[in-house]
Amino acid sequence: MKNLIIFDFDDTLVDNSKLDYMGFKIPCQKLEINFPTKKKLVIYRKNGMLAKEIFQKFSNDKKKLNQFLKLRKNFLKNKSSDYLEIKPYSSLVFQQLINNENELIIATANQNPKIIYKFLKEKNLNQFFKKIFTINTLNIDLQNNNYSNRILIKTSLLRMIIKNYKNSFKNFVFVGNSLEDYYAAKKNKLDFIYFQNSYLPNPKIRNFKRITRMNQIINLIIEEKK
Amino acid sequence: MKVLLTGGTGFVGQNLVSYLSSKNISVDNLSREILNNNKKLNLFFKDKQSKKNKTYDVFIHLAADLDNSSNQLISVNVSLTKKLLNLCVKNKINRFIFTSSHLVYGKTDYLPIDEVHVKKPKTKYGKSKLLAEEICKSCSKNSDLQLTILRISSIFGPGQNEKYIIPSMIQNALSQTIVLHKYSNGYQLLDLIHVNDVSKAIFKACISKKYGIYNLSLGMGITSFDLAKIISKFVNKCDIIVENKKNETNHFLYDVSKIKNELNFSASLKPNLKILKPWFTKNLKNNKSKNSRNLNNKRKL
Repeated sequence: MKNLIIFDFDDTLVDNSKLDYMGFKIPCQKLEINFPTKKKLVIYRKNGMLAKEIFQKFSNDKKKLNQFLKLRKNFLKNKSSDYLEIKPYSSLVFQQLINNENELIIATANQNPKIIYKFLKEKNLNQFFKKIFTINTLNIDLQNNNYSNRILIKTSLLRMIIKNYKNSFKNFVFVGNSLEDYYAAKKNKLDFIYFQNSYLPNPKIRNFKRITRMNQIINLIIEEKK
Repeated sequence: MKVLLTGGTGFVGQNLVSYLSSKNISVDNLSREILNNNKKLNLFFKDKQSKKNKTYDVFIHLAADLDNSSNQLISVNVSLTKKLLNLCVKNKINRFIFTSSHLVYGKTDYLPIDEVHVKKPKTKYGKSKLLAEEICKSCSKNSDLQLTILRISSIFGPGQNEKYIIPSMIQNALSQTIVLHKYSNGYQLLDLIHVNDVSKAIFKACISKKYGIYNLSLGMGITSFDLAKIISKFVNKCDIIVENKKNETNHFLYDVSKIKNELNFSASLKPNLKILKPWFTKNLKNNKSKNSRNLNNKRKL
């Protein structure tokens, strides 16, 4: 029986720091609001701040906040493939994983699977992934995107995946980049690999496997099995 | 089929009795007076005229104490359940339907919540229902009793007490301001079920060959804010105020696939404009007559 490796999308499969920054810069330019440097945005994000909270650091105007959120949403919807960057060695790693009795899927709290399909197709990566599970697959709209909701969404997605595939796979591994991902994996009793990056806050939990580059997954999944 | 039930005069009970009667099922209700008296309870099964034991096919246990602050919560929800289970075994009633609650689950770990979800009830009521469930399961394991537990989500329907979410929203809408339920922040996901659907599900549980533990709801999430928006459409002007805004919410949505597959039951009555409008109009009439009565009383004074 094969193993199923579940990848988170944002900041795990792809580097979306550039997209995130432009998603602030361009709407703010349209609204004539001074937006800080990329360095400062990284600090805010490392502190776990949401886009809405970051915007409020620069403007208290409620009307402009709503306009900003709309503009940002549209920007992310239409321009994501221009600014998303795939992590180095991804294709090679995916191919090697598949050659070694693993199957790959994506589980993301992202709402729109079309963006992900489009991106993967453009980068010629769609062949590696069996399916993409998004919040739309769950058919649940939680409306507010707070911390506990993000854990709930990820836990529910992983739960759904296990239910769908429990008869076809021997082991499940979840590769994610946040504390929410870790808790979601833990609640579902899944093996977890933490993809550490310089963009989001680094969880202070020590007992999980960490990687900083995509090719390190090979060591953890294939070499360890040998 | 002959059915014996408790809680027949309550909100669900009244609706259920008339539904079962419409299906030509004979229903006897164990009143509070009999339930509180062991002697009367034992004598209830003896037919005075024929001197034979009364026989029933199904026992439906609806009676419960809903008040978390009540001292009788455990004695009503747990001890009474145990007493009734023993009585069923003794009198050879083969099927026992226990109405439990979504409150046995407590904090939501994942959505939609299926029957195997972790149970960590937060309220006294939820804890008492979970304890009663365990007693039911243990009794069923040690006897021939066919046990069905229905974990019912929040019920709505005409005639419901004003403290519940929809009647309180309707009352608020009549005074042109809807203040959202204090336990939610407006975006909390709720999964409701209409009282008529509850009766239909219990009927299905009575007649089905299958039995077990089932989640019972619409299986469709609606936020309290969306609910308020629907109700606010009934009046010309209505503000929606979100009070007691909290970041932490406990979203609730059931996985209803088990009841659908095994009991062939799906709830159909959604809390939409069509369902809520007649209820609202009735409240409006009651409100007007109450107001005119108050006015007349004032005039008399």
